[in-house]
Amino acid sequence: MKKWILPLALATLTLGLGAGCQNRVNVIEPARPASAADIILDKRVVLDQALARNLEVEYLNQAFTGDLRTVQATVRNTTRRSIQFQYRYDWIDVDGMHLPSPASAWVIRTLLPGESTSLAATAPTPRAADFRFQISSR
Amino acid sequence: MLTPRILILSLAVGSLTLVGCQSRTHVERVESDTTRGLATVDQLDFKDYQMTAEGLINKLLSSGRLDAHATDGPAIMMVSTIRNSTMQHIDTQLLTQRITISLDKSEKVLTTTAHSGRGAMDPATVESRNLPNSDIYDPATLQRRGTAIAAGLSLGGEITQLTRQEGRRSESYFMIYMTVTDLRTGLAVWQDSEEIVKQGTRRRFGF
Repeated sequence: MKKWILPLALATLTLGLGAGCQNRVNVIEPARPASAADIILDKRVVLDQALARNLEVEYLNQAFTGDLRTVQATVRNTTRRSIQFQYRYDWIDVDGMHLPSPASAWVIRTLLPGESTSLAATAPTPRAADFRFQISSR
Repeated sequence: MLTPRILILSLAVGSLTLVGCQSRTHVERVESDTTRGLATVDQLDFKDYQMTAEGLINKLLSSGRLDAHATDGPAIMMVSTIRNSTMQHIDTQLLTQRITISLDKSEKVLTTTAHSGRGAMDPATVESRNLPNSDIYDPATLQRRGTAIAAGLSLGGEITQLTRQEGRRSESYFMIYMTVTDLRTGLAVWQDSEEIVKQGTRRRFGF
């Protein structure tokens, strides 16, 4: 019985070290940012607590190009392993009706440990009044 | 002990059962927006088209480059040629149609179907002006010549692929480059690209 313990411990240690040896990303940003992001106050419905913890949606901001609104979610991988996830933007008109668009598709992304990225989408039409950002693990 | 007759009968029944099992196919309907679709290394799969179109549409609309051409209503655009510089058969319409549908919804661009890089997308514009027995129609309902609107912009591009193999691992890199050209000046008013990298490992055993 005891013969099993040492190989098992070694295997677990190797696996653990392997998982911990993934490239991590160091992030350096200006201490006084020159950009003034137009932050959107958001309301979150979190069903996957682990994803919300591991992949932090830091903030949502917006900008306008002509009459089209572009929104952007800034997310950061807070774990020590790579995370693959998918996200999608849905757009809604002033009457609360969903605006279907070929650009509203689930997009798959992978983030390295510590990496931060922006997930942006532009409204399919000037009639888009609101949006819904959905993110899930794969 | 099995007699030869029973043995032959058993083999025959067994073979028929196997044939019967093989002919049954399990079919499952999935959402067209699923991310669980079949994926290949050396081909573009439906998810690749969806994600590429999503990226290019967002880049084009957020660039604002179409606004200058849409000051007096939507600009008129034709779909030109998407050059396929890969070794694969690629139906480029799967990409261009998603883009033209989105541009139509954006109210910035209308697409002409009367002409494109592959000829007319809808030949009816020309055919309705060359109607046989045109004297049977009410002249007021006939399409006159000189009324169709020619395109001021064109959508074109190229798909390139780079493949690499290392042992059992294979890799494909696709670059999908798109451009919108002002047909009056021949200048690209917008150009951008999307990249796809796919890796796969061949099984050591099996088929």
